[in-house]
Amino acid sequence: MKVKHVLVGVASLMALTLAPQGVVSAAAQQAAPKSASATTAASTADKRALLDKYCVGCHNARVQNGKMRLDNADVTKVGENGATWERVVRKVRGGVMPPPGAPRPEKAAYDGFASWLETELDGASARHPNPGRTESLHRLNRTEYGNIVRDVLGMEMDFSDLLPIDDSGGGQAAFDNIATSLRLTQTLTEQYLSVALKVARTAVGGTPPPVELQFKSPPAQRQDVYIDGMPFGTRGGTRFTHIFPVDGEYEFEIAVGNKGQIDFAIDGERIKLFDFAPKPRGPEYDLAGPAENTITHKMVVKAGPHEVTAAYLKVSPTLKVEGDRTPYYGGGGNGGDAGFGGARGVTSVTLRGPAKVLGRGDTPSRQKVFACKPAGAATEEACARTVVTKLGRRLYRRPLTAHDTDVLMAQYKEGRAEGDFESGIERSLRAMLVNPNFLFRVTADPVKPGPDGVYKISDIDLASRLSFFIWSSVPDEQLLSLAATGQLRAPGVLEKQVKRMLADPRAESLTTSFASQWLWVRNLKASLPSEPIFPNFDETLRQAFKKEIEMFFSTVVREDRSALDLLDGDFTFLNDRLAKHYGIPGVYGTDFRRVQLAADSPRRGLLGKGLLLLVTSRSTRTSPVVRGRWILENMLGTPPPSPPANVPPLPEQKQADGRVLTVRELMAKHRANPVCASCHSNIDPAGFALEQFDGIGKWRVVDAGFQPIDASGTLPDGTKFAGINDFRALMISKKEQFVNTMTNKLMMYALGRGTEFYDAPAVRKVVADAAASNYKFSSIVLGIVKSVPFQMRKAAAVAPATQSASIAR
Amino acid sequence: MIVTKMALPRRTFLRGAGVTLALPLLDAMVPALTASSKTAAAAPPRLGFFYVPNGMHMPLWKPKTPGAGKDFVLSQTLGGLQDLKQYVTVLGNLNNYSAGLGDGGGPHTRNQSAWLSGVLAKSGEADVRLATTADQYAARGLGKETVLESLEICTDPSDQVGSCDNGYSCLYVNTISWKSPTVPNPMERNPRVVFERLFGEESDKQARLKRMRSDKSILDTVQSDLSLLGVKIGAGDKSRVDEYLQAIRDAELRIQKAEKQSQNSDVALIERPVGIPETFEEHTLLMLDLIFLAYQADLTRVATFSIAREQGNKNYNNIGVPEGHHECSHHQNDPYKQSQLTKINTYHISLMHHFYEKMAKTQDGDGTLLDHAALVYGAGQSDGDLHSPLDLPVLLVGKLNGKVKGDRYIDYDPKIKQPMMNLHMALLDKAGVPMDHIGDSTGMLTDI
Repeated sequence: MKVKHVLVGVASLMALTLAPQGVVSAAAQQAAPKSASATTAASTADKRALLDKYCVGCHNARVQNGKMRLDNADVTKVGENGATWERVVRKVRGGVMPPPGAPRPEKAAYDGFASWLETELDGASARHPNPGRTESLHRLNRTEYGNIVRDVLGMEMDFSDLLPIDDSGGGQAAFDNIATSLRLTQTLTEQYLSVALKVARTAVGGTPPPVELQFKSPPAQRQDVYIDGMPFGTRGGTRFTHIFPVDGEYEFEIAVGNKGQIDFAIDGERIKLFDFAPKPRGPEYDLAGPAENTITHKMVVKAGPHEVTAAYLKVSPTLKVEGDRTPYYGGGGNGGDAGFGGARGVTSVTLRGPAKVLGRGDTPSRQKVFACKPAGAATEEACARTVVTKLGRRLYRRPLTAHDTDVLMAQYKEGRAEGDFESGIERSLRAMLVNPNFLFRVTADPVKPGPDGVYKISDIDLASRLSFFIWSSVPDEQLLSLAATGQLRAPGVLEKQVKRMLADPRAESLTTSFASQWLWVRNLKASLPSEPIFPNFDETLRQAFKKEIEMFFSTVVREDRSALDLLDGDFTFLNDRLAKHYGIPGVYGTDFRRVQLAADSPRRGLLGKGLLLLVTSRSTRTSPVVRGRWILENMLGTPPPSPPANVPPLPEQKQADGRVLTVRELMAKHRANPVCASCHSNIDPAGFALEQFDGIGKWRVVDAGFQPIDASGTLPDGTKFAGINDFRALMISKKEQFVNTMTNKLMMYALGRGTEFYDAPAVRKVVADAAASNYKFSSIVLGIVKSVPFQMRKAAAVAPATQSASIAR
Repeated sequence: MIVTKMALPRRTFLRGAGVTLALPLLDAMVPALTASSKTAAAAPPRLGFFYVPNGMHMPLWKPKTPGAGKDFVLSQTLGGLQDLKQYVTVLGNLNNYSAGLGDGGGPHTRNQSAWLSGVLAKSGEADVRLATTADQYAARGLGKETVLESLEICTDPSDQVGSCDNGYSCLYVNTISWKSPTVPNPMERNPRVVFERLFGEESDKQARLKRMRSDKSILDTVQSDLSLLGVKIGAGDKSRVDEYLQAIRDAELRIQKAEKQSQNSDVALIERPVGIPETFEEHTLLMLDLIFLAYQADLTRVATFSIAREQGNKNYNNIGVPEGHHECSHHQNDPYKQSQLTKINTYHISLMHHFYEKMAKTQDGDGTLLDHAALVYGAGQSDGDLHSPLDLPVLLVGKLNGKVKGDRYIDYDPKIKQPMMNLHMALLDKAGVPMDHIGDSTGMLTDI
């Protein structure tokens, strides 16, 4: 048995080093000596003894807590039972086992045990790499679809109304790019058809049926103050960007309120200044409120994207000084008229058209699509072939085959027969946008995968993995050429490409897609602080929270800072409103700017960010449980198990004497129940550390019942802390664990699948390698890019006959 | 930065040839849409499934005593349905044992997903599995002649992460309708998209037919290229490829049906909604209008509407409930929270009333639409504080071609453990889609 293993190990090593430019072979080489060292019962006796003494009491045939047995787990063959031992590693590295109160080995032995396990597991993994398997057909999600339209066709279109939201993978893989969750259904097929029609038509400048679109200013938007980005000297107003499909005549209907002058502008240039006086009101005035009034304007607009604004000119005496309060309606959109303190503004603009079509115009998308213009009927087909081949290459993310071109040209000809050259191109583009070679990232197993059914993915597939990971979009021509000519894995090329890609504006998707899901930014909409309890909360603050955390994260990416800044970064981004909320003086104006944070500022790192504190609170109070869970899951990588069935209701908050229990006392009562305590003694303490931030992230020293806040706690491993700064220091002492957790999340996002126990060695290697640069963000990204799971794939399970054949070899 | 948002001015929802039409006039023009419902001798059955989350305040939901006709007195929550009482059936003590009461965390997920399936959702992200839901069985049977087999609609966005907790995939709360045990039906939230599915994007017939022809031609290429990919990626993912090929074939079939329907109708009068309305009320009413329209024009006979998603914590300031819905449902016997919850329950019924009323006033063959419909309304749990899937709140409106009696409250004996699925069994049977079983059904209700 043993001999065979060694042989296979050597064989796989050879196979990997024979492969060109051994990105992977480094791992295999490192492993080579270990495969020779024999693990025996004698050399592991101390490990067995440690398990027997500290673990087996709860994890044996009879008790099996957490459905885990350690009494019969073989410590001489750790590598053969990765599923179990990786769980042990997670619990021990997370410091959550043995449970609080139970005896633990002294620190050196405790850590030593974890290191030993990791070494064994990493060695086994290097001998038999298991890169896992993302599904063969990995559908684009909505964000990626939109980014591709932007990058390939030069159009910023909003797909939120046109395509359904993508389901996120469940459990820990809570990202919306997880392949197993991205299925194709009949409904979605129909939606893709209909969206393809719109995209292709707009890109080519085809004429759509006339539409009516209404753009509204959000109800919580103040109309009596200047809004960033509007023409100077205006107040309130409505603004939207729209891709006008053709040169043509359009109608704008502007909904206005008070008497005054309304500035109507396109791309910042005033089209007209309207003098408006409301119509005399009828006797129903008192009941119906102010009569709604509109101004209608017809004009010719050139095709392409334009920004339209409509706002009142500011007349000073009637207007209040810019303050920081805006109406807030619990975010539910159930509020009535916002009122705007008497200063009604332009609340919506309705666009109708095109009424008359004057031409296709000259738009950025037409410039991108039409690589050539046919000189006459004779050259049309050749030009069409050029256009189609160029678009197809980007959209299918590979050089087209003859079959691909045939299919697309046949579509061109059908479209051409119904109209002109351009309608032929439109049809062909439409067909591309629904083709499975576009909608799915396709990875096919090679005819003969390597040993253990493992193989390197092709350069072309690697290029797509890279671009979807870093850009949430298709590879650009540079990346594609490198892959097509087999240079992508040449020495130094991946390093250079990763650096280049991270510096590109498209890398913003690491913030808006990855971080916004990892850090629960997308839950912001669902956070609805109760108005009577948090009168200071409003839409402006909500948006400020989002902006701050996004700017913070994207700075770490863009400036290639250490990932540890996420724990303890000494800077943040504030404007007047947010600075006031945080109690930080000296910040004036609505623009966000970088602000240095003091060494003892509670706002350092992610844990002090308003957004995080808000999305982990209930609408009426903080929730140490949710905050604790957030920290365990997203920073420490030790997510708590699910709560049991039939959880009894929490005890009443009110005491007999009328005193309201503090949240902390409530939790204590909760933990008095031993069933609850087994998990909550892990979860709650981390949450307590944030108790000095209220439900909307404001610093506080007393709670809603005017009782002093106690933000101290004890971690499962017995470490005590007293408040946020103390706790943050503790987190910094666990920096490897934090980086490991983030890397693991990033790995899921990069691969489009949940990570499994066999991915843990790869994650550890990324973290260990990144330590040299003090965890620079690019070093983590590059580490993932070079890792076994990213570079390779496991073939589908082979039929039994073939399997035995490979063992015999 | 202004966040602009498209929304629908209700008054201009339907605008014909330059003339703005108010909604009631709609009825006058819809008959032009379809040939089937105005000529058919027996009007087709319409089934609908309407879901609300977080349970109900049961003491005010349930009528005091079982009975029919004069002996049937509506409860406080259902009081708003008085004028339609002859169509109303209230059912007590229907249970969803398969929702796994006592199965650990994630009761909201299990209760919601069991409501139409009668099975326990499978935990774990890698292997999502439920069952074909009752509405989809109905769609298979009733959808053959209509443009859409069924319509699945919701109002809540589902782009949350992290909260699909307790190991259950978000899929289970994002939809309540499953085409097969592994294929959840996405629910559409944008009225404009729903409208275009029903009527197409184009307002003139020729353009529509032209688009359908090209769509078919494109789908042909999709189908053959996907088959080729299936060969390339090999046996390992064959089942997935087959699933997708089926989806494409279904889409193709639907286009064929729509083509046929287009040829003998004229939708020139109808203009589409412009987007998602801002308030929950407008959004819900508009979605209900679209379902109504689809029923009336016989574009579909089965609709499923998740009025809000389970565990949703929307606040209803417009009816004086600033607290979140989910929060109120965890009332812990606090009378204030219970009364807030009742306000929400009653409010939802009032929105449904608009829809029921329209159905009751619309001629359809030999009767009204409501005469021919069976519309199930309810929640996946009774007391939200306990997450109990037992003694579910179930309201049935409509007479299903005289096969449902109406005007009664039936409260089953808890001892006989009547499964909720037995109701779906009975309704499908009466609609002409007999089933062997659905989920954990043990038979069918015989006394409705």
